[in-house]
Amino acid sequence: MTTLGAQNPLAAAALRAPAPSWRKVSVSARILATAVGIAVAFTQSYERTQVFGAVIGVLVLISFVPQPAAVRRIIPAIAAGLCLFAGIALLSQRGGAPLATLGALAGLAELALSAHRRQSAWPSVAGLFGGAALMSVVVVAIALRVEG
Amino acid sequence: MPSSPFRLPWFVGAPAVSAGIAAVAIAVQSLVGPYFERIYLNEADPLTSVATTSVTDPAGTVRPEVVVAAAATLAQGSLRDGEPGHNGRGTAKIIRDASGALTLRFENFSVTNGPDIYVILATGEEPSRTAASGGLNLGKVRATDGNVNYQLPAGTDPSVYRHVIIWCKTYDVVFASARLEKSTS
Repeated sequence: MTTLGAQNPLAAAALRAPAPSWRKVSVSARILATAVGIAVAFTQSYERTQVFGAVIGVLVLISFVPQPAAVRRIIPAIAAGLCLFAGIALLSQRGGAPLATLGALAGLAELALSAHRRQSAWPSVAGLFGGAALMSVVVVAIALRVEG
Repeated sequence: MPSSPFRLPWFVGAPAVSAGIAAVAIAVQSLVGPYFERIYLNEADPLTSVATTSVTDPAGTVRPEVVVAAAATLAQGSLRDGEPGHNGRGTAKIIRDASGALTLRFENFSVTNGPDIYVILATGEEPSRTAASGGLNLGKVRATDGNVNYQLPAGTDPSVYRHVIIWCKTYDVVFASARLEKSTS
């Protein structure tokens, strides 16, 4: 969508912190989001919400599995988008706001990492929206497979 | 820097992406959010409520007298699932309480939540979308689980209604329905 370059103040802001710091933010946010998803699964009484929390947690966890170079940049962004939009879907539940916040943090970190790589931000942006699409697929699958 | 199919200046791209994310967030919150929201409610059974009237005994003392004979279940049916992904269970009853008022009561009720869903009494033989859109609207679903009452408007003839339908008005989706059979009790 946009190209992060030296003339871009957003990219300049991202470059003020070193890449490993952003990587830590992305990884930490996704680990915590996994924990929140699992916590939702164990603390909610509605079966569909339980399954949703567990599936989100597991899918985010999968983003830590070693990936081929071709998808290495987009998978963490998809996981961030998944957390962000799943959290927004669960905003009325306990755990929804933290999940959304962690997703937003991970997403920002992935965009910042694009700037550090001197690469276009568009794969990360596409990943964030891909996370929303993946969340929709999960919701539809739960609706069709889990009674509630 | 590798070439990108989307070479937009940052002051166009960043707001565009932000607006896109905000738009998706609003859509997710309004469409998917209600799906995970549960509302529990337990209301008293109108059959167990009593109406009282005043009578004057031979000594001239005015005392309240309980009237119970009028309370009755007129029709009832079991809720079943609606369109794929939309579930309902429990019992729907049309009850005339002791005061003569009509109530639709759901017992041990549970339904899939969603945006803009209503309780409808329909006259058609099938609990279809068409039947729902032309039925008697008793108002928005107030709870997704529990025992819940909906007042029927005064003057309603309950015998003409064949189904209770839980219906999403905005997206025209049947969430659940119950076929009403005349009650023998």
